[in-house]
Amino acid sequence: MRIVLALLKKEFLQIKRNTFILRLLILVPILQLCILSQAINFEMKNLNLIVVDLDKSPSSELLSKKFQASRYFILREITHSQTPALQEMEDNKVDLVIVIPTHFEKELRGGQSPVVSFVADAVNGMKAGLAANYAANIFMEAAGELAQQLRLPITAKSFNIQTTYSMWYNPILEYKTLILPGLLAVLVTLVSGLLAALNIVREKEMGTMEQMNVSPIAKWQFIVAKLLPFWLIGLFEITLGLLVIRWVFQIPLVGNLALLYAFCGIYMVLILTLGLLISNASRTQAQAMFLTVFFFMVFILTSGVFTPVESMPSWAQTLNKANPIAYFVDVCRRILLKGATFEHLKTSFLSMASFATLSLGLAIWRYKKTHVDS
Amino acid sequence: MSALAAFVKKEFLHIFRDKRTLLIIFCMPIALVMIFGVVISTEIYDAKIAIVNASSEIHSQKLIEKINSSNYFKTVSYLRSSLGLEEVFRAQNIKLAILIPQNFDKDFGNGPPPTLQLIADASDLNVATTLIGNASNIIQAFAQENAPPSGAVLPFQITTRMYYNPEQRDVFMFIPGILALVLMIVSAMMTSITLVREKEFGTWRVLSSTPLPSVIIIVGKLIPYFLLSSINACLILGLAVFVFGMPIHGNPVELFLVCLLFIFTSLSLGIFISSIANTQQAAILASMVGLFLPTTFLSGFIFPIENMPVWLQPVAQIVPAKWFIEAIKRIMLKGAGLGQVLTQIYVLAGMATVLLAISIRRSRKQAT
Amino acid sequence: MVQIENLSRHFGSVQALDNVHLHIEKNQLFGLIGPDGAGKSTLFDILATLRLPSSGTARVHGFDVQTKANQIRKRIGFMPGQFSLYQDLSVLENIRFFANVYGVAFEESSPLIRDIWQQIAPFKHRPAGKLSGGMKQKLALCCALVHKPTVLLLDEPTTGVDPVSRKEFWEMLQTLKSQNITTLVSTPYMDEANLCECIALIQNGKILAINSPAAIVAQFEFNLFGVQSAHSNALINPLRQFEKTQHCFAFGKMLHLTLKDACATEKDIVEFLEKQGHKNVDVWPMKPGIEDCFIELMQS
Repeated sequence: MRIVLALLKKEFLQIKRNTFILRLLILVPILQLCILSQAINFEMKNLNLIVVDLDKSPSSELLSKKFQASRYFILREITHSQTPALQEMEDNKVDLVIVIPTHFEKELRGGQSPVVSFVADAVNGMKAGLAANYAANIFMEAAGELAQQLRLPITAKSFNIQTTYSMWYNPILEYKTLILPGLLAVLVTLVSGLLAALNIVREKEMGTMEQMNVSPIAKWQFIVAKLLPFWLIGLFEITLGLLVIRWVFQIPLVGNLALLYAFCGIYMVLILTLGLLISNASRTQAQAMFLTVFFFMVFILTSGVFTPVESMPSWAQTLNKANPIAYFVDVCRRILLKGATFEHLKTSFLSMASFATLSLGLAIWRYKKTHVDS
Repeated sequence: MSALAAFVKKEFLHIFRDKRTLLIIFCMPIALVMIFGVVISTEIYDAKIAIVNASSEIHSQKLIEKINSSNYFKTVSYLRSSLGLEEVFRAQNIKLAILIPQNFDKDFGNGPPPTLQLIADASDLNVATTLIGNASNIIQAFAQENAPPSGAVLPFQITTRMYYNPEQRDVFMFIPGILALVLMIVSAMMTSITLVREKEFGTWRVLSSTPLPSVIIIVGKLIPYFLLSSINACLILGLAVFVFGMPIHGNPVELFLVCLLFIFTSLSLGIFISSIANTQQAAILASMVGLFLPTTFLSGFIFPIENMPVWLQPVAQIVPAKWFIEAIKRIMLKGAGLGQVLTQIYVLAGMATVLLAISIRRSRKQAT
Repeated sequence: MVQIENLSRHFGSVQALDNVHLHIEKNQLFGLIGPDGAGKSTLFDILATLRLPSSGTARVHGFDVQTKANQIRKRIGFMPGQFSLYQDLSVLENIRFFANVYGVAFEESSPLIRDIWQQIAPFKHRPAGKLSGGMKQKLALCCALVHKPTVLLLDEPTTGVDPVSRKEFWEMLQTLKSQNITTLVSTPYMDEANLCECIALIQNGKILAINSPAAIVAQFEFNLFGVQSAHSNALINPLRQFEKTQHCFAFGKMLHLTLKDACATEKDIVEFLEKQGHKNVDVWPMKPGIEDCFIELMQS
């Protein structure tokens, strides 16, 4: 125990002396949390629109004007020729071009169902689809007015189903609600994981390893002493982040914080031991860096922070059961936003705990004191 | 052999003697592109939902069948009333509930349209919106199918053409971003530690006492990594085209040149980090923490820039990946030529120049 | 060849070099002697154009370190304290690299390098990181000489090297003298100081003395005695209480004792110790060495 304390003291001293790292550990994640979260939004608004009105009739004008009032679209202009509008699309200046054909009103009156065409910039497929949908909705609303104005026959029965929707668990309806716990998880994971991964291999490179190896320190003492400082720092960062989320972003944190911390504790052990394993297996800091970054990038991008886990193919979702960050993000959301209890999260807890134990065991076992030329 | 050639040779020797890192440098981009290309998407299939059916006649049954037969949804819970719905959300982690009212069968086609309620788990607003959209589509389709021919809803038709991406494939939106992210991270990481290593191992002191100018040192370090990254760029582009089916409507050579420019900018970014950091640890943390998230968030990779708050947009302009993504999307999907992406080219080249200039200044050998 | 005037350098509040004044003649083998933290490395950094001084001037080969750094770099060979060559490159690759950097060819038979090269040539394909300490130093020296410099700056070249290799190294330095090279060596080893033509003693950034080793020793103004017994260490404190004692320090198994009083003899010392209950003490007069002079200078 005394030995562990002595080792701990050394690790903390090293960290404290390194002001660059300290600043990186504390300032940068919080800064990024505040700034980057502002970038998040999937809302489709400010869609640039051009209406090409080839008919120039009262009906087509009525339709065109409808888009001016829409909150999704910015009606850039109403022109009367198609080519320049499409050129704007090439130049990335417009997302949707609506073409109202010539003889539009005439064909409407004659019951001949004229064809309005939408041309969407589908480089962003989802955006294009949504733009087309919104536009179609606006048309549907306008259809009633048009029918009245032109005195068109309306069918007596409309086989319509209306849908209304409500959103639960997100009273402010903010995308940030989702992203912030996930972002916090990513930041803490990256920083802690990298620090752990670089730690042992740095001593190998600098040559201070040999001193450790000839001392009577037991393997488990060594590993625990390496883990603890980063573990504490990680939890500290999570606390800071939660405070920021609560006070700066005003997002109510509904659930059981003690439960969250318990989970965080287990999660950090897993992440740090993974880092240590990589550190052990690497000969240079460069190698450790690349390996860590690779694994963490994969974990992070498949964890559901940016794109939904539900959109991944099923084999990927299965593999994701081995992704610690996915668990963390999921549990974070469920505790903080939905108030889930331990009962609900039992499986996640168990999985995490078993991974963490396994990883810790591996890290201790693989740490060889005799200098094997790896 | 000239000093520059000797320096480049030395760098190559360092690189090739570390076989493990070499392997990682090539495998990593390939693996990352493969994984992300396959895994990152926003389309959702088999979402877990609950159906609350207060009516029980034939129409509601048909609707439920239609919902179940679509591959968008997987119903994991059936309820007769909305009591207990909250618990289902929590316990089974469903993302959407569809509530069919008691009067559904009675009202459908017989009077005012019945109203279905959709309740979504909006903690992921994006998923919620997508699911609601999918559900609405299915419900509307159901309405159309079951309406007699005379019950047309609109007096006119709408046709939609999706330009540049007719199948609206997700990959087209993400692959350019993935390319940018992977190329940038790998390139920047490689060069971010190279200068610092010399400082940490003491060879920098000896180098500084020789007449070798800092410019040569920096250029000498860039060259080998530039070659390595170019190979990576080829591999990744190959994957994008042959595995993910990205088209190249523009000129492939011009596309490759733009990639090379971006690599150059990323390498310069790495060297810049290397010139300001004192330890490898600091350089690694700075490049990872400083580059990965901002590039992912602010480059337009996943989140559209036009929707960002006004004050954040200028910040997004300094992310090199943003310009690169714009340029390759235009070249690959819209068939643009170099002339149309000149702005992007100038910006990337400008960034690289500034970064290199600062790096050379900061690596001057006489410390004050 | 090297002229340093009023040179000062501080790092924040720490004064690393304080008004240093030094002249090194052409072809001299000059030693800079001082303990750790004395400022030796800082001085080397400035001469090697790695660092700018805070005030004062330094000229190497007639060129000012601040304005003509590049001219200096072409003419100096530098060996920093710890091994600073590329560990994953072989001996030959390291040498060839530096040769190319200086724009010269590596001539194995050049008189400057020939003797050193012979000793490391058997290992020419071995990675530098896998050499023994002594071999590493020889390699570093080779790399510093490959372009035939006129000034050689060696910062603690023998630290951490076995005594045999140290001896060999200094023999090589003597040979270099005959090749028209001016050498500035720093070392914490006093025995190596005696091998230099001229030495400067430095402590806390200040020069304490500059002269040939013999002259410095000759300036020692006190009487020096060696004191030894079965338990020499037990004698230190009592001796320091002795009113005639100037200084007393341990030197391995014995003590070096300087007395204030020029007339005091061994008998006085023995008497004093016996009164304290210390028997069987050997005391004898000694000639001072560089270390004694240094300690004396440090104390004043």
